[in-house]
Amino acid sequence: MTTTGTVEVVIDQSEVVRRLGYKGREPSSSSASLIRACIEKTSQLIHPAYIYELRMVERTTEQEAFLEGSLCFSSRIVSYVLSRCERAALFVATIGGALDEEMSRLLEKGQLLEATLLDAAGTEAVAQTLFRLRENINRLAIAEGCRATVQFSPGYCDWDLSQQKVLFQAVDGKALGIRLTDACWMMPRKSVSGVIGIGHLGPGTPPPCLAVCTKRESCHHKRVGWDPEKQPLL
Amino acid sequence: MASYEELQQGVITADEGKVEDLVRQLLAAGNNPLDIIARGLTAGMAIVGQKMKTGEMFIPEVLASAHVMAKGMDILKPLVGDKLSSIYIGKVVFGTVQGDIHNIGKKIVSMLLESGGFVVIDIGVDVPAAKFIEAVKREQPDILALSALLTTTIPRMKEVIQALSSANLRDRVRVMVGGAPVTQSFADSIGADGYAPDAVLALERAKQLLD
Ligand code: B12
Repeated sequence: MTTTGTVEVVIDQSEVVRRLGYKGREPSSSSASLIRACIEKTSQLIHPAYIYELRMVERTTEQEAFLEGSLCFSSRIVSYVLSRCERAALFVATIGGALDEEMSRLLEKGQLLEATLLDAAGTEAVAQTLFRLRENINRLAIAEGCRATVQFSPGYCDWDLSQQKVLFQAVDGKALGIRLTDACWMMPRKSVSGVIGIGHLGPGTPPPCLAVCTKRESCHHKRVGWDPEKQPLL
Repeated sequence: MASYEELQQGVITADEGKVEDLVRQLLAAGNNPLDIIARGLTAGMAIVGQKMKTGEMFIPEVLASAHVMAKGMDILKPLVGDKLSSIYIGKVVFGTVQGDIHNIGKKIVSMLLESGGFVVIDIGVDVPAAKFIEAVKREQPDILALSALLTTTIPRMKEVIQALSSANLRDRVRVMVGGAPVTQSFADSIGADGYAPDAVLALERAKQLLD
């Protein structure tokens, strides 16, 4: 089953500031007003949208998860997550390509500061889009007496980026104007992809990171402030 | 009377009008343009780099300072003529490897390298090994800098280094690598000479590579 949707996102200035690396400090007043102006501009250039495909989880092994439609994801983490789920939502989300075009234009003119601020605002916008998508999927899951997991994406943890190809077999990225390059990079740039599990998950389900991850030292979840070892899967 | 310290402050606070005024005043007072660059603009940017390292300034402020410094340079460059090369500390050819179209990280590092006294030749994104080799032959840089954002494209860095060896150019240029998935141990494993996780440290590392 394919679902597409658009969302309205509000870009939170404090999040953009955090993404620019301020680590809790305040930007100078001139930086702050430039950041505000760039958020304003970004808001006018984005078209947040998503598409997802619901598939049954057929079987899992320690290394692999097999889904309806002859899909096979190779990742211990994804497999661990999906072994506890009946279904999975395979998704891509994007804010569209207009921001990329504006950034290229600015870089050509040498306006690196403004391009950098638009870049951070765009990242926050796509992160919000993903957040809203997950909320929608969780609502759907709850209506059926289930819960949705957090999202897992090819290229993170032990899920190799080349697995984007498998994901794109199932999800029609083109419907949102998303193309996958040979290096498995999505165009437009501000796009995300991944899987969200749906199942009868109890709040105590241990996070996969604790159970099966072998890359805890370089955990990106931790770097962005979500400590998977302390929080359950939900 | 305008002073170098004031000019440095103008760079640190990224006050474009003030920097341009001070540069003109210092020139009018008979100061050497090369001194204005070294003791005013570059010295100001060096303080900015320090402040970024200690967490007092962040990328947007640093980029604003670098931009203002470039504005000051625009006034001074035509007056320096062919003595300009004497203020450059080294030359860098910079590109993002084949298959990778990531640009902004490379641009940020380039800007910091330039503000620290390097000449940077940006040869773009999605650059095949052969084009890096051509650029090294043509430009004869001190440093070849490679950027990549993805685990699927960082293997191209090794190919570039191998292509340098095949072309007998490996000992003529230092290779510096960086980008989100690159680590010091990856850099070591492919035989790169330097790595840095961010732009300020990239400038520091590039300077070390010149010694
Ligand atoms: C923001 C971000 C996003 C944003 C924006 C992406 C974009 N590029 O616009 C969004 C949310 C859209 C995103 C999506 C994805 N992302 Co992402 N993302 C990041 C993040 C957190 C920061 C990247 C960034 O823009 N930084 C700001 C720029 C300016 O920094 P930079 O380019 O790295 O450059 C700096 C340094 O690296 C260094 N540098 C750069 N080049 C050079 C060169 C030299 C010589 C030197 C010395 C230094 C140097 O200096 C620069 C300035 O400080 C990184 C993790 C991280 N902390 O870096 C992951 C990261 C890049 N993403 C990753 C992944 C996997 C993805 C996705 C594939 C996930 C998915 N399946 O959806 C997608 C791909 C998107 C696509 N279009 O295909 C992985 C990539 C690793 C891999 N496996 O290949 C990373 C590394 C996270 C991780 N730890 O695994 N991402």
